[in-house]
Amino acid sequence: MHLDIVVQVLIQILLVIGLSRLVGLGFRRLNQPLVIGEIVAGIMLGPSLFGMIAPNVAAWFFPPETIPFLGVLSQIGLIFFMFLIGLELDPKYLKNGLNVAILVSHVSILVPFSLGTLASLLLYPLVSFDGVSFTAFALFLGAAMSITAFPVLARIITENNLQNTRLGALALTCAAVDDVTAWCLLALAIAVTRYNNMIAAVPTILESVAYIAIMLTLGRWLLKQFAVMYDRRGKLTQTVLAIIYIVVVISALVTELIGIHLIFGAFLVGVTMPKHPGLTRELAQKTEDFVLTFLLPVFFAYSGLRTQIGLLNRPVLWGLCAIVVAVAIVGKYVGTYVAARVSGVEKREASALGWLMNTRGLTELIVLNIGLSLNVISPLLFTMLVIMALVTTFMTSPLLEMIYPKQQIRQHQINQPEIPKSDQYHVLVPIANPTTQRGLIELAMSIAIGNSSRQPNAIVTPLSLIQFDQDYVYESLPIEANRQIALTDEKLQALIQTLEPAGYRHLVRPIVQVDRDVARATTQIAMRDRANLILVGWHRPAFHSNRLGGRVGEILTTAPVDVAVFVDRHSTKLENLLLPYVPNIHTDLGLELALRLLINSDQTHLRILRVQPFSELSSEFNSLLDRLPDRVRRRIDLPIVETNSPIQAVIEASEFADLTIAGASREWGIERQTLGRYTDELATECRSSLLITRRYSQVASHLSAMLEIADEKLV
Amino acid sequence: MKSLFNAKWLTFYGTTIAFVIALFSIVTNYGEANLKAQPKISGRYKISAAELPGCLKGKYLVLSIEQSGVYLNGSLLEISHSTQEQTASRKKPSLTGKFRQPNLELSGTLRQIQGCENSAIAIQSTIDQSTLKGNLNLDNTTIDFVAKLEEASEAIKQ
Repeated sequence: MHLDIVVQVLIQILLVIGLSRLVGLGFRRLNQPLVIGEIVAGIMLGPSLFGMIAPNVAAWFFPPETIPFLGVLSQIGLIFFMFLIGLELDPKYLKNGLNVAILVSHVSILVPFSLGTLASLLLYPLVSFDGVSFTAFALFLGAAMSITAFPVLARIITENNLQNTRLGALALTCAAVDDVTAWCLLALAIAVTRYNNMIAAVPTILESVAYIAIMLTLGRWLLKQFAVMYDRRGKLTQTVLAIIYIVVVISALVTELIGIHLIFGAFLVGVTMPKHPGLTRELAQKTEDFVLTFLLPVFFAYSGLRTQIGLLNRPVLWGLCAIVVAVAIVGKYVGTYVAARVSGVEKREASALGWLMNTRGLTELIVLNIGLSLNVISPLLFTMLVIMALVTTFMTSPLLEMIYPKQQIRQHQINQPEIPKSDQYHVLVPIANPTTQRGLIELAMSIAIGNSSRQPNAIVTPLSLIQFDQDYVYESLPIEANRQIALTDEKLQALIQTLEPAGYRHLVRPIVQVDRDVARATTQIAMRDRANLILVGWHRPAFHSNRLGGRVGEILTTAPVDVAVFVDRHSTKLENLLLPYVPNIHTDLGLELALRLLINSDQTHLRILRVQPFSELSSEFNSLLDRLPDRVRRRIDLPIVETNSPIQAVIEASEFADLTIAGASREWGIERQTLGRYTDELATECRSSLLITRRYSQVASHLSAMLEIADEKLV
Repeated sequence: MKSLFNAKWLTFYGTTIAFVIALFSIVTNYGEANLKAQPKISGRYKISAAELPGCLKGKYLVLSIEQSGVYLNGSLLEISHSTQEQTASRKKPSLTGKFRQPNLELSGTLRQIQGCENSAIAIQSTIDQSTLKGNLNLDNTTIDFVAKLEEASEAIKQ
């Protein structure tokens, strides 16, 4: 079947984008950057997998006459991607410990560069061609070994909440310095490769330096006008955007004409653009969606079509590949570690920095594709280096977690939050939106602190987790993440300042951080900070009956802590509580929380509604009631209702309550994502606000300290 | 962390850079003088032989060679093979071998040639500019052959 080339290219693009998203998301589940999955998807489409399994089908999908079109698309993608990388390089990253960062980053380039040069002695006669000079080969291999991918590293740092730690700040500065240095090194390698010797490349090098100087002076001044235009209009207009893109392309053409490469011109414009927060964000957001979802996967596929793992068809070649990987890892790690130690960084941080700086990701892929196009590296060496790039990026997250576990990161934060004391009653409140979940924090305060005159030994932690669904976007950069954290923190603080009683506001201590998996992070923080209760808000889904899907369901299933789910009907007081009695441990937790509310506020009354056949209270329940001081006990009412429909009786009683507290049914969790038939129905029909309790620990008590206080008060 | 103008720090920095530049100069001087990489020989070579043995008899063949330094991969194809089949052969070459100027050896199967799927082939030859001269062993029958590199334009036409 013969198809028009445009049709063929479009079919290829369909396949490329579909597979790269799929594999990318698969890698996200493995806690790896999405971009690594996309690179792997590109390799899968090439001769390494698709071509290996079904060579004829692969040849039909990717006929040679269409490849140049993919090549053009991928070059355009690279130009704008490099522009984005430059745009992301904010001088703010260079504020922290610049002197140490310069040393660490330069030594972390020099050591792998030297080892790469030495490895050339082995590799050049085996995998190069006589048209390539040894100097160009050594320079290129050295540059390939020295790369650190700032964009991928920046996102790994944000994901691990390291951006405000000494380690994160240092790693970011090092990677930024490294990025600029490595691109200069690569430009030198390209110039030398084109002329095949160092001396002939001198004019190109001088022209490049002159162009960089022009861009950093005159160019910077001209580009500043975009910020002025942005301020005048308050937004980025299409005309301004078009002019910026024209500048990017012109600059790319200039560097290509000089004899380095298209990408440097685009990168230089990105670096030189004024780092005006609004302009940079809007420009990045407008550019990145199409570049990252469409053009970059095409580049990965184009690169994958040139990667042929099947070329490693002898043990000796796998041996060479292992040497390449080892040289890259050891060179980068040792260089970084030694330089960091000399600069006075402690051992564990120096080690973590060594692994972080090993992230090569797609920056390496860009370098390698240039090398292959210039014929300075052969297809076999290209494949080895692609494997090296994947291994070094893949290993970063797990090694970082091993050396620098997330639990310990908090101890190294620059502004260290206070860790709750072990004997404090601690309620953790995950908050999705501070402006609409005031009721949730108020309830947490009432349970934990109340308005008693005696200083309570309790704290409430509103936990706001900022989740980035897509990891390779501008907003997931450390500076942007910090901006969002500050914004959320500001909203939370504003809310806290309106809470009553004012004297106990200092006991509400929010945590705001970035995390990809909100439910897992909530569970981890609850365990780390020894929370007694997770109080989570829940909105009834409007269009489906999936009762507890999403984060609430996940927290209920995974958290080894007592959990209460609050369905807010926006009642402003907590004077009348209703507890439908069902003999199970979840209702016992509900009773304990209700009693805390009773002890904390003298205006609160509790009705424990006993519906036949559950009119007989359990011995545990009775003994708990017996321990209560009289001033609390006399505010508890225990009516018995005879009815054919217990649920209906509870719903009717809830009409007169401010808050109904119900334990999850005994069968909760058996049917996925439900709290049991009775509680589910209550969640839908209850007329008051509802608190559904799910007990985890049968030993932990929410009342022991409270009863002592109540006893003392009685005395 | 220490300050930028610490003497130990500057010494470390200066020594490292000097060492790397010296190392690079020594290694590249040595490499340029003593190390030789192989010339490029990848391409399509049209085979002519008096009479091809066994299942290859009467077929017009092209030896397609992909090269990475001394390591070779390739496929023996029929001239009549479609572009798609030729692309497929490049994705999954059936011959592997080595090249040390001027000697070239390749061996493997003839997966792409109808009727020869189960045959094993070994090629030994020397290369002189763009001509291969050597012998071809198919299932223990050896014949001599000559193969000429196709011009780029001719290769595209094929």
